[in-house]
Formats: sequence, C-alpha cells, structure tokens
Amino acid sequence: MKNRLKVLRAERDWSQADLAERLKVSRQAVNAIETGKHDPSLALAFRISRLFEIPAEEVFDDEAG
Amino acid sequence: MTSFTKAIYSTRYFDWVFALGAVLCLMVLLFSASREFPLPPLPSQPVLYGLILCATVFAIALLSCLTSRLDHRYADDYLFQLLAQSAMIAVVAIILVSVAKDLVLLPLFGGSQAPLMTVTVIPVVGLSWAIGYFFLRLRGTGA
Repeated sequence: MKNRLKVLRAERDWSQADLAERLKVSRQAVNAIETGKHDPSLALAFRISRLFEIPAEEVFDDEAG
Repeated sequence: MTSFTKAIYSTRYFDWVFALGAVLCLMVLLFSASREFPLPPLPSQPVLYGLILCATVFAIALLSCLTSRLDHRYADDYLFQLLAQSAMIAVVAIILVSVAKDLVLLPLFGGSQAPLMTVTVIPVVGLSWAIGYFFLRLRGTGA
C-alpha cells in the first residue's frame, strides 16, 4: 500500500526517530512503512492519522491494491 | 514499557537472535543427518500416555496464546507482524519438509531415519523461522 508518511514527516521536519517516538513504535517500523515494506495495522493507521490530524485515507492509498 | 522489554522487543535484538539461531539450527541439522536415532519403545500405558500428551498439547497451546498476547502488547506493529508471519512460514515449512524428507530425501539416499524427531523438528522450525524472518525484513510484510 502506498502512503504519504515520508512527505508528511518531512513537512514537519521530523526524523524517522522523532516520528517513531511519537507513534511509540521502532524507527525500523517507520522506515518499513515509508518504504512500503509494511502495511500498518488499523490501530497504528489511526494513530498516524490522529498525529498528523488528517483522515487515514489522506495518508494511505490502497488504489494500487 | 520498561527499557528491558524495549530492548528485548526490538528488531535489532531479533535480528541477532534469528541470525545466531539459524547458525545453531543449521549445525544441529547437519549433525543430526549423520546420526542414527532408534525409535523409542512404546510407552507401557499407551492410553494414559495419549491422554497426558493431548492434555500437554492443550496446556502448551493455551499458554502460547497468553504469551502471544504479551508479544502483541510489547512488540510494535511491525515486529509483531514479522514474528507472526515468519512463524506461519515455519509451520508450513516443517510440514512440507517432513513430507519431503520421508517421501523423497530418505528413499533417495537410502536412509530410514525416524520422522519427527525432536532433534530434526526444532532445527527445521528454527531455521525456517529465521529464513522467513529475514526474507520479510528484506522484502517487506505486505502482500
């Protein structure tokens, strides 16, 4: 699943470690999501959505399947 | 989460665990291939043994359900997915390796090693779990 996590993070000038700390996950988890190697669970997707204060569908795009 | 659980439930820690575990499993597997394991004698009370075996399976499976909940609680989203998915790979691998070993490899090499020996099962599960883990680490957990 594609996502805009890297762009959203860059807009706030956060490092992967900063974002990981805010989401209470590991830096490796943030990296895996950003590179499309891991699709987050619903709970984590909601946490990301709340952190960036935008709907989840604006962060994640499942159009590509 | 304490610093101990944070250190334990990290991909860095599991990278080492699986890397060292894979080497160990590989060595045990190579060692066990050159050894003969005679079948143990049947238990003197097979019915009681069977009942206790079933009870043990139930107890350990239920205990594993609880420990899996702990894993889910302490491991982050990515690590839990990695562990769960690679465990599934290991389960499929042990079933298929057992079949391949009994139906293809042993007849081909003229052996008659007893199937499902602890010394073979654990290394196969460990090794395939590690292979699954590193494959998912490199290629991702997504479909």
